[in-house]
Amino acid sequence: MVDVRLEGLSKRHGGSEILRDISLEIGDGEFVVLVGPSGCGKSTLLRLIAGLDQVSAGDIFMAGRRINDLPPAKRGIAMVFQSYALYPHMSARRNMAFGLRAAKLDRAQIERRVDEAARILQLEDLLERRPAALSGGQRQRVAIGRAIVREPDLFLFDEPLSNLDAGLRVDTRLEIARLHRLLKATILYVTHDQAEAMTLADRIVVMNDGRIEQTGTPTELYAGPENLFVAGFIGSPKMNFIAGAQAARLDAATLGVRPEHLKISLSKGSWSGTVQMVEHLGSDSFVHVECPGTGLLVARERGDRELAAGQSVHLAPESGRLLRFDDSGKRI
Amino acid sequence: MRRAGGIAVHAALAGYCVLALAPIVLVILNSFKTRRGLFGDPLGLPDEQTFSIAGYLKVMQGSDMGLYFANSLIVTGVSLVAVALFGAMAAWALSAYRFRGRAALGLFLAIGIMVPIRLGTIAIVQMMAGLSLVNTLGALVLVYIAQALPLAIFILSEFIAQIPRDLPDAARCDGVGETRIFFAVILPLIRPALAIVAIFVMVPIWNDLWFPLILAPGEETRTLTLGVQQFIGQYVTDWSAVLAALTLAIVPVAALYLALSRQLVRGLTAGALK
Repeated sequence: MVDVRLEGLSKRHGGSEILRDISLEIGDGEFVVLVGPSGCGKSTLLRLIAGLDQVSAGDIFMAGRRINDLPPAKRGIAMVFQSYALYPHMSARRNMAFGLRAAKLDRAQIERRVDEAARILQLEDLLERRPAALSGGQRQRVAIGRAIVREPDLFLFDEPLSNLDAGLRVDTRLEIARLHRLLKATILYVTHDQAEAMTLADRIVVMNDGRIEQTGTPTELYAGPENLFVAGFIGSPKMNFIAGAQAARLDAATLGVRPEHLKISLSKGSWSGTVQMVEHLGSDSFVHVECPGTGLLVARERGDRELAAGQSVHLAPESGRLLRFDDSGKRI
Repeated sequence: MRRAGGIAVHAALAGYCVLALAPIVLVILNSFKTRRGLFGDPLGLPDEQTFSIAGYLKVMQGSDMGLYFANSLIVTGVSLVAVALFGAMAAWALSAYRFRGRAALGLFLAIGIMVPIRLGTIAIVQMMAGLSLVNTLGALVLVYIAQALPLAIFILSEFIAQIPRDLPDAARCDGVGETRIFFAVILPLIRPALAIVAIFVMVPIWNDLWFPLILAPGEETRTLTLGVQQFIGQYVTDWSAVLAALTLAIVPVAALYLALSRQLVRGLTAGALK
């Protein structure tokens, strides 16, 4: 396993700039998640590192070696695709062995690696099946198996869970986290789902519009977003934003406060409004409150608190939890 | 309403089926009749009086039918394999790689579909004479490859375009070379399309009279369609023999069609790559 370093990476396609000046370091054994809205360039970045697309400017280093001009196979990477990209006409076993056979490894070693990967991923009974005879989750595991048998220095995951249904997604997410610990692998993982990013990552890289907005641990990003985009993107339900005169009074263009830092009171508070809707999740409830002159605010409450639509309430932020942003969106 | 529509569709299809099959059925029926039976009742089934396999005997014994058959099989077979292989390679290159002149090359190949190759007959004859290929099967093979390649590339490109780009990319990450990607990943996935191409390509080649007549009329290189001509005379035509030879000529085409039809149906219903 090695560390990866990106320096001033750019990618232009046609006239448009897809990636701009991306610099990033990934430590040995680190699990880094690239997250951002679709079209932000995160998958392109992955393809550049894999060597499937050529960089327009900048350098990629692995273990100190510049790998810009190496073909994908020589970079010591393995990629898991969103569509799984399993060869439809080959059994699961042959899918996993295909690259090793192309590399002319001896038969016994191929066998050993495939069996080992199958054991880790609990695929032993499915090895002779073709992808068409496998469920989505099983296909995903075969695709991961195909990456594992290469014993790569760096795993690249491109939205591996987005084709799975919700229940399976949680299972596979745990599976990937387990694999990371088991293999002590360096992983770069792309997703548009911030919950996935929060649960899996050692470090999250938030991307938007071809640029890195902020890099940090999940808790760092959650508690200390550097700008409006990160503040709005990380966390569910989203952070409440308040603009206008109320923000100006605190020398800011926009104020932000997370739903769990808004307290609901029946008697007093900074803002008053009417409950529009209450989403009950059991342990918690999300209370949507329409505050005249301020907008719709969402507060997180304990699940057993009785509130009903139409009720008049007051909201107040916990002290010190109000974030301020200037008019360029930067945190003050 | 729906039912009536269904009947109408089936009636139309059945009508077309009859129209298409009638000549073939007539050829086969009449090949088993005596000359008298053939002209006396051309639409009737052969009975005790008119049944005869004289035509077949004549074809088998009185001519080099075996040689003609072999020539046709060699020419068609070699052309078919070459067209499928080179067609698939070209289609793959055109759809998978970005290179300068790609669009122009694609257009150039598409023109081949629109312009009949026979327009170039004189130039082809001159070229073959220059290469000393006249009266060889090689001349026919070369011409047929050129004739069929554009359509093959066109059909195969459509299919290859449906192959998800991730598949070859995954193979590249796996360290598989481009040649191997083509043979081990792409080619197996376009098998249904290859079946379609094989049938579209084979029938005109197998049935062609023009180029064998012009490029390879020698006794040794005659193909089946050319061989049959010896029974058609200026004054007398041995219809039993002609029909018998034609019936025999249908057999390989029909056999190929049956062999490929499963793939063919799968290919025509497309989406076959999922």
